[in-house]
Amino acid sequence: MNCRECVEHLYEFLDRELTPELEREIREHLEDCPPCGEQYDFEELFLKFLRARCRTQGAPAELKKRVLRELFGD
Amino acid sequence: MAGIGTGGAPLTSGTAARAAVDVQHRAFIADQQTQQLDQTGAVEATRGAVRRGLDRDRIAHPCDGQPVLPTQLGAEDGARRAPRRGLAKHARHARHPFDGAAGGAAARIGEDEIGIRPPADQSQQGFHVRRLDSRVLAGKQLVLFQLHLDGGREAQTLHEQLIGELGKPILDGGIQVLDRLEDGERDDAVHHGARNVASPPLLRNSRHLTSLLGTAMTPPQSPSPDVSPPVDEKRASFEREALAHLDVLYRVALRLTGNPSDADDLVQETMLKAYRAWDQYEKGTNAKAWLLTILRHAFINEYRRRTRHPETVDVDSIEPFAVFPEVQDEDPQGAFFDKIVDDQVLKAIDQLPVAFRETLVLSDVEGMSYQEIAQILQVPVGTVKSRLFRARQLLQGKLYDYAVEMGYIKGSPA
Repeated sequence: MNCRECVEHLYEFLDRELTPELEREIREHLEDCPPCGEQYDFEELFLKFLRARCRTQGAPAELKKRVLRELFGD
Repeated sequence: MAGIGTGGAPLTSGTAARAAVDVQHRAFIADQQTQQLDQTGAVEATRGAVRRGLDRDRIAHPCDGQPVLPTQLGAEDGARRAPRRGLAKHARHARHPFDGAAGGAAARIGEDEIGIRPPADQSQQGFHVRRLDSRVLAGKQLVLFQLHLDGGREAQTLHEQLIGELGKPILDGGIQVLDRLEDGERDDAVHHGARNVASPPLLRNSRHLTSLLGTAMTPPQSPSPDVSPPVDEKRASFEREALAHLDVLYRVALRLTGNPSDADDLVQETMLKAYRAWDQYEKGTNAKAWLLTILRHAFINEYRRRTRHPETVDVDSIEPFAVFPEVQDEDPQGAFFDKIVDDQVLKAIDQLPVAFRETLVLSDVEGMSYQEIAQILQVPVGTVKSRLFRARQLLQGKLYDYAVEMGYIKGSPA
């Protein structure tokens, strides 16, 4: 596993979408390679940031009422 | 409005020319109309008016006067049916003026019509129901009239009516009452199948329906507990498994449509479609993915309807821009992200091409797996992977540019 391969699979690693074998190879590489480790931290933070920023919204209460009204005449 | 009830070429059969009498199916809101129609005079007046309307178009039929008993659902007499615009057999492929510019887009059923979708194995069994009342709304019960002359009987309003609701199946799910057509379904596809809903045997399972037979305009009674469990169960499971995902649907709808009002409508439409198809959903499986698939289909249909050229950018050729090397020295921890507020992030997401946007939202906001996303978007997992990679990089690039612009980070000169 080299740095290019590691970076290429970084998102899949973060998303837990890799085969166990590839996942292990990436983990080992990250432990041994500080620059890739830094990038891993950066990307991980970015994904957490993204999720936090975008999940604050939910469906308006009025929409739920509207759906219930349309479906069940409530 | 489409000329439902006005078209139809004469069909010659044997020695007698026969009128292509178009059937008018009429819909009332039961709970608003029945009270008035319950009075004998009103019923008669209505029947008279209906007859007058039908008589105008009527030409003698060889079978006139002979009783024709309603046959079973789907057992229609194709040879005796009048083709609508001469396209009875190929109606599904016919182009209709309603199609407008939107090619394969769904045809929206007009405001004063509703449609009925027949069982899947009876593709020619659809028909239109014309609304008489503009107050036909989802959630309101409709009396669906069959005022046909097929087979020579007088307009049979009293023994051939059904209770339906927009967006809900009737006859134990055999027929669906629609407020719009699905993608690919043409207005022409819902043409007349006169005997679909007339058969008493089909009504036998529904006390709610049979209670109306013979009494015509009796208002629908409130469902009593002993007949309502199926509905209650359906509702309960729908609320438990589908409505629980309203927030997810709304967030995704908001990112797809770009504004709260359209997002509301999209979610609403998704829920109606989902409820209509709830019997097809295997309970306890992945309701979120199932609902998102419906939502996305609805979005695409609407999107195609609105624009001829949805998206010309070849998203898969966009080269990603890696931000990390740019900030590696100055801010390897990505602290600048924290200074960017919600609205700016959402705005940046909204600027992504839709193929990237939907992939990123499903993954990074809603936490769905590549496999689930592939299923929803109907693309290979590899495409999900590559779009997600590019979407993230593109978004990072936009946020980075914004952070530089705002002075959150010095950045390297472009």
